[in-house]
Amino acid sequence: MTRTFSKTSPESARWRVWVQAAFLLVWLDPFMLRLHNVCSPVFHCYACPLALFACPIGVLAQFSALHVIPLLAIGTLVLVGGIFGGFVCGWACPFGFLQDLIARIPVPKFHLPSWTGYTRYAVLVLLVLAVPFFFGESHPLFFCRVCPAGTLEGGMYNVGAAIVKGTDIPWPSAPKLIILGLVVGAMFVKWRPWCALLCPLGAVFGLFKRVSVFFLRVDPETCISCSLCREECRYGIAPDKQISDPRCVHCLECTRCSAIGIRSIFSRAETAAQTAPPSDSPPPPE
Amino acid sequence: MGNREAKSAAWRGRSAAAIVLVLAGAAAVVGAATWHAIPVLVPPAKTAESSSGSETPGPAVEPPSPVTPGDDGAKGPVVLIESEPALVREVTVGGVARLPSGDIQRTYSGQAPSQCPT
Repeated sequence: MTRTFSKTSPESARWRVWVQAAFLLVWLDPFMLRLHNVCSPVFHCYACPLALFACPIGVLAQFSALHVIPLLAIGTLVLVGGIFGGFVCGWACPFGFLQDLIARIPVPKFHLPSWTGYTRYAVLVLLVLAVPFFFGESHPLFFCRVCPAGTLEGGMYNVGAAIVKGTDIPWPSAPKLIILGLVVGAMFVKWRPWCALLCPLGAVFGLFKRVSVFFLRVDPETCISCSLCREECRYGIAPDKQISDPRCVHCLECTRCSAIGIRSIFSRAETAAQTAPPSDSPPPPE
Repeated sequence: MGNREAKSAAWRGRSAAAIVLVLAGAAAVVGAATWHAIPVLVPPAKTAESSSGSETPGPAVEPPSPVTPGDDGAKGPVVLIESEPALVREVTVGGVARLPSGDIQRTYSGQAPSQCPT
């Protein structure tokens, strides 16, 4: 099979922004159901008055502070991660959608070294699990007290509502505003800086990319190691070398190359390849 | 032949891992919704705060007794067994906290807060 490389984004990648917008409408609770007893698999703060579900990271942190195992949050993440892996980050997460929209502004972007992706695991282990467990919910480094999504979706919403109503403005704390400013500023000069550097939820889904039901795969027989996929990747990943990179958000830009595609564990092509006898073996007796 | 067998084994391993994860995740969600329950101490409602809205002042009442575990008095906290989904809702509004004794106590009496305090 010969390798081809499209000059335009594949159709699936062009649909991504619409899928993200559709998911955003869901997360914003259009019917005001406020199902906060259910965890969503995306990064959307439950302090936002428009949040439909509870943020799984917030639930993990709060339950860590209570010393209770959050089966619901863990089960949701394992279930969704086991099926979709990194597709959740690139196709459903509203905070990721915001970063994608801001990054479309034509400003020069830069890449970070691959090792910086591991800082997300430090955030997950320290701020989401360890600090709440050992110091409680009131600690300044409790994740929800520094989370930019909470500052933006909850804090800024309350500020706007107070301005409209003419009441006292409940400004978020200075550290929260500074962190939000840095993250939003970084969105202009880097694709998905929060996802690449600090997102604990992305760190969780990154663990599932090698074992999820749906995944990206490079066909070694078609790939000619031309490195064009690396040039198309906005996140500094070399898809031909590390298609299951934990930083990958499955934007599918690299699938311009015919050697890279979406597969599943039920893929018929793979099944046939695994079960077909070698061409040089004798036919089975009738 | 060896390479094909290796690929086949890797594929089977991946498929098995994915199926196990999906089943484990589903089992955890079902277990959380149906089986996992957590005892939560509910502080006694303050008797000075009358819910009837009467204008006449009531009799002088003692302040609510401090919530301590093992309080068997009539004014002691009530132990409420909450399902995990209910507890998830509570934490989203800062409605529970962990006491130094290790018990979990509701932080409000009466109507629940509407927003997360963080």
